[in-house]
Amino acid sequence: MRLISIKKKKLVSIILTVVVGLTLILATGIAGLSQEKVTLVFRQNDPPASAVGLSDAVAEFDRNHPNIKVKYEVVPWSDALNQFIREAGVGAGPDVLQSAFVWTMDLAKAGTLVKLNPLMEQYPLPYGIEDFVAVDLGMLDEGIYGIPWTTDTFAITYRKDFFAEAGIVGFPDDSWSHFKQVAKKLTRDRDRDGVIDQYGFAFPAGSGSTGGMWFLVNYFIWSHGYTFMKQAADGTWGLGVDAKAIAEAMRYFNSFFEENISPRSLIAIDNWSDPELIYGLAKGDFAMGFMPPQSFRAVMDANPEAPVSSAQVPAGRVTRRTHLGGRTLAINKNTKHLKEAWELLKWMCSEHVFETYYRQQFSAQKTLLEKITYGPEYEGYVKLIPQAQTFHTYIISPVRVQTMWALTNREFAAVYSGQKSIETASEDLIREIKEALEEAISES
Amino acid sequence: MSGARVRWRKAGGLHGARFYGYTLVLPAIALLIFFFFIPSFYNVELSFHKISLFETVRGRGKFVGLENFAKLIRDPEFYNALKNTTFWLTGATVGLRLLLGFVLALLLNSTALKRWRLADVGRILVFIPWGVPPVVAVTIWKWMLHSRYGVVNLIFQRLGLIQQPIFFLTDTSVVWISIILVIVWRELPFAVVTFLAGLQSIPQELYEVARIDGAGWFHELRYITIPLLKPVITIVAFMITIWTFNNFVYVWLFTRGGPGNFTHVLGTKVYFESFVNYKIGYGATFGVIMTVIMMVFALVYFSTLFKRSVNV
Repeated sequence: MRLISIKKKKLVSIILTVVVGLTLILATGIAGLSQEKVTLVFRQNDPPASAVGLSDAVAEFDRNHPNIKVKYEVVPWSDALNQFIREAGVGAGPDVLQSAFVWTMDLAKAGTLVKLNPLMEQYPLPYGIEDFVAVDLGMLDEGIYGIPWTTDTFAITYRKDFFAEAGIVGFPDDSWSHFKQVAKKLTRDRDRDGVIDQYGFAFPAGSGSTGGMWFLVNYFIWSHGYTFMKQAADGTWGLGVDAKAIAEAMRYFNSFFEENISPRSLIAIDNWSDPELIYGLAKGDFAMGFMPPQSFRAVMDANPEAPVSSAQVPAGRVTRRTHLGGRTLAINKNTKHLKEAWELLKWMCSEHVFETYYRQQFSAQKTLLEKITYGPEYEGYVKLIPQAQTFHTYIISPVRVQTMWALTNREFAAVYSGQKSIETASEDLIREIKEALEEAISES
Repeated sequence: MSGARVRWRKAGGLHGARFYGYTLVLPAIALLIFFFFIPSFYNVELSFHKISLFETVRGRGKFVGLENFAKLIRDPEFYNALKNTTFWLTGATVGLRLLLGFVLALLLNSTALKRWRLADVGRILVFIPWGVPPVVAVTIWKWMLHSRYGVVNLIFQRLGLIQQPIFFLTDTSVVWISIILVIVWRELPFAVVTFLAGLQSIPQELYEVARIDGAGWFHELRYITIPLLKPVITIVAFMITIWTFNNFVYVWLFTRGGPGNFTHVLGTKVYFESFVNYKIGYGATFGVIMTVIMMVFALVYFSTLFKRSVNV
């Protein structure tokens, strides 16, 4: 009996020790957790030169929120979508992420983003969601999955000194052919060594899937009354452009290379922020360029002395049209800190951030857009934004925008490099998009 | 008692040498299963499905049997990529690396270079490219080959070899030569270092005997060096063929498959279909075909090698 009682005592003391120990560990852990900072990851996709100040904006958020620590990440546009989808699929990824206008709906459909409506009701945006442009691009089934953050379009940028030197008065934006004539006039062999050292027009003509050629092609075909995707009155989808119209665009842009108005090295350039384009315009190797405002700002930073300005893209037979693109901020479905992530998202959209830190970009809020005063060099962008259209039709069409984007760039570059004739490439492009449409319809 | 249990007991049970051996290789087998076999099988499984990148978040898409393979056979871009992979990416670069690697190894192993005390400097110079990461190597070469700002065009123009710049990155007549140049420059040291090790393991007595018999440099090369270096050459050729055939980095960083689709290889097609066109299933099909081709290559290669060693 005595032996049993000793054993019992031992058992009870062991159990008590374990319970007390566990309680202490838990208590210490909870105390530690209550003091531990919430760590958020914020990811953006622009190169550092196009996003100067964003890290400072994040640092101020950190200072204002002692219990939150934000890790600032940069993933290039070319990898951003793939990387996020891969991460989202395995329960990882940034808490707050930057998306392109054209990606948000696809990401929402894939179930990777948080529906923001409840957060907007609980912790409203200062000017309300109605204050933002292009909200529909981030909507799915009445739910809002992304807050438009910045907005922009592409414009023609040019050297005023070269125009004056060539005696050109006014910008040739009345037609594409007039634009080319002037570009040709601006192409010069300054030192007369037989090699051109001032090209008329520089644009990203590469075949890469995220290259800038896509925008220029769309501006051209839209201005002539065509569009890649068109929805009929009965709701069916089809192509709003034919091989003949594509061939016209290919012939037009290819002539810049054939007539040496643009250097062939541009066929290897996808990114509109490529150093060759930025420094080429800043240095004076190019008389005109094609770029968004943040790249234009980089030109001015590269050579503050360069007398540069921006102008509208040329008008076509029907109209003048550019795209209203931009960035969206969204919250990853896998975030463990929803409230804090929303807090950060709201901060990044705030007037203070755009006024103090993120000055290269135009805010996507009407109120802020009205408040900002732009220098005369931004004239082209200011004129174009009201005429711009979003890619909404493409986004809601069965074919993914990225597929059309990649195919277009590839076929145009195939012409520039001499790999395909204009006839073959234009027919191939139409056939490939048609096949993609048929496949998408059959899948749905 | 069953036969297996008897054998187990005879082998010493849990304390036996065989069990001990299995225990030692178990971690390696587990690693192979998790990081090689499971992803490979998953890739094969994906190739039988129609699934977009976006759908991977939620499921595995729709089973379509051999539809992806049928599509691939009808796809002219597959044949273009296969031709580029076989001829340009693999054939040309492997051939050049073997040839130049052999020549450089002979040079570095030569008594003349040793006599002039240049052997060490030569080796360091040859091995430098190997220390440069591929992404850095491609970036450097892209700038060097740039048509207007590149040093290569500048030198050619200064020497009066050309009047107008060569568009190394965009002209379809020279773009493959540029890619091959970068690959050979970056990857050559592996062949050189392996051949050099092989050359140094050849007994010097053989050369001395040959010289006594009146053999010249060429005879030594033909009847001693090459035959004794053959096993090394064979292994190097096999390894670099497989590495290069599956390579994605150089072409993607250099041209992204462009201009147009001119330089697409099978490796870049896997990426393009999966992560640009978002057709993960179709992209996986390219991956399966690449694996099958390399498996056939390895089988043919080893069976030929085995036959030769048996005949010897």
